[in-house]
Amino acid sequence: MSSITNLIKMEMARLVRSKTAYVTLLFVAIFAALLFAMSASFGEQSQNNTLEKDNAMYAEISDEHAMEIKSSGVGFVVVDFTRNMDITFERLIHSFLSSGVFLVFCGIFAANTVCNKYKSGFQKNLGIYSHKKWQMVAAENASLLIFVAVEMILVILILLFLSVCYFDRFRLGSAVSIIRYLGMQILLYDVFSVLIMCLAELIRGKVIAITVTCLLSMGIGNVVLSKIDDLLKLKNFSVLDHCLIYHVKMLPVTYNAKVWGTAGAVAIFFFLLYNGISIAAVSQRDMA
Amino acid sequence: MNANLLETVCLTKIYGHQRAVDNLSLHVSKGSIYGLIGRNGAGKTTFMKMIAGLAKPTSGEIRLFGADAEDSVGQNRIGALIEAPGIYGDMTAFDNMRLKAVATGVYHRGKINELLALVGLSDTGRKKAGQFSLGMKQRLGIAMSLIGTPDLLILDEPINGLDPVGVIEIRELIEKLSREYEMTVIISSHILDELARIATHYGIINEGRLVRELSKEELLDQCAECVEIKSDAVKEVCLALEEMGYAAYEVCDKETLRVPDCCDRVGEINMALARRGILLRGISVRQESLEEFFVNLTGGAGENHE
Repeated sequence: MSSITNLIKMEMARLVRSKTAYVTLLFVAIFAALLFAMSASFGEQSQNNTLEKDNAMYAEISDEHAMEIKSSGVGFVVVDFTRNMDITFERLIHSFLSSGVFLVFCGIFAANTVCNKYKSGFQKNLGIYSHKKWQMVAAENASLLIFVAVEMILVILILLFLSVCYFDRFRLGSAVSIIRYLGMQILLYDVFSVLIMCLAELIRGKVIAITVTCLLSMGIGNVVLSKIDDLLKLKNFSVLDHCLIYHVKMLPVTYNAKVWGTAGAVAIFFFLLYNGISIAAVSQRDMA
Repeated sequence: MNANLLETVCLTKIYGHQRAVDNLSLHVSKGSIYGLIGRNGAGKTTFMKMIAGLAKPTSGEIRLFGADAEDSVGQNRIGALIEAPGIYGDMTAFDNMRLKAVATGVYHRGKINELLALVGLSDTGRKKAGQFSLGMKQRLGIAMSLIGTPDLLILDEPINGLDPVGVIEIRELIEKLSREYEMTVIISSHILDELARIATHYGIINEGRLVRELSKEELLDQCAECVEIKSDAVKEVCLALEEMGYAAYEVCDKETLRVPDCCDRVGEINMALARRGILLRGISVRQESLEEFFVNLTGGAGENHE
């Protein structure tokens, strides 16, 4: 059996056996439920007019666009909803996944996976059997993709369960749209994980990698890039439009060839770029 | 056919301005137990890392199993324990072994249990490796290096942290692996007496360079014999030896002297001292130990720092 297959199998075994994945997924589940509860609570309070000041923030949102995310600023914002809203699961997923909050967990998992490997010294065992060191990076990619997919499915299942319990009128919406949207977001989230993996491979520091994860998830990168756009004032080109996090937050659930095409191209470009950097770093640097 | 399993040609590793390994050319023959001797910072571990594929040489060549080390097949036939064992602390001994076995494509539950029993870790159960003592971690590292039954085993100070019984067990294990599995072993240790018991060949490294490479037989020839005299009257013994023409003696302490190149005349010396009324506590022929040979070769005590 080829060594890359063996390495992928090893990463899968490590994924199943290590605490990191389970603890992170537990926090994902708790956070998803908490976010849902906070959104419902905020919605109920808004409806009851108990938060006058906060209501002003959302005054401009019409019922039609009640579930759209305000993602241009820093931080996580999920618009409130109420029990009696006519809502589809399709739009609920869009709200939660495009908020970017779950990127944090992907980044934490990626940083932990890479840094634990170096901290434990286990990579010394792998270095012996993987002269072509790109195979180790490829195996880590497989592990990250599995984690991202599991995280997404977990979030979907929790939202589905809570939605069925909470909403009076709950509709699934278009299953095809959901699956397509989910697939693209898995790709974008996975590329984000690969970015953090690349950072962790370069600096081998968990704290910095996780700090960068949190900052990027909050949208700091978007703010910086929009300022760069303002400075550069390039015609017909926006740096922000080609940023990964921007596409995570702004990808619409309805298919749009141009927007989706750009998102896909950005994802593939950065996937190749970050993996290339990781492979170069692993190949050139000593394993121990 | 080349009987050397491993050959290095002018192998060099430079970290910044530091030449950790400097034009090192050595040969390890198949089936031998090759002892690497050197002070701290001499370059032993760096050398072992390069052989194991964990560090990239700055220059030079490594030939493994008769082919260039770039050949991945050769890399698959090596097992190594370099510095501290590389184990996940949140996994059991079996799970750590299993991960490596899966990575090398040789996973077999029975074989893992056999290896754990071989190193005395069959009773660890669900205990996490992070809770192991230093000696247990070291044993686990040795067991992991044996996964896949490698042809070349590289052990960097494998008896660190082991109790005296453990040291004996590992020594016997290495001898067994060499004898029954025809495994070639490269082993480094600061405990030269232990190394002297098992190594068949030696490579002495100092400041990144190979100072001497020799077989056990050659070492025995090289290690000088001397006459060791123990007496409370050291001054009188010194005067007597000078009168007899043995001026090249060495005073080791307030009751011990050593006289080289006169082992065939120990009886004569004993008689001469007795005639002079000098009482001796002991007189014997002794051979220079590996430790003494190494110290004399590398210029005495003192540590290299990287």
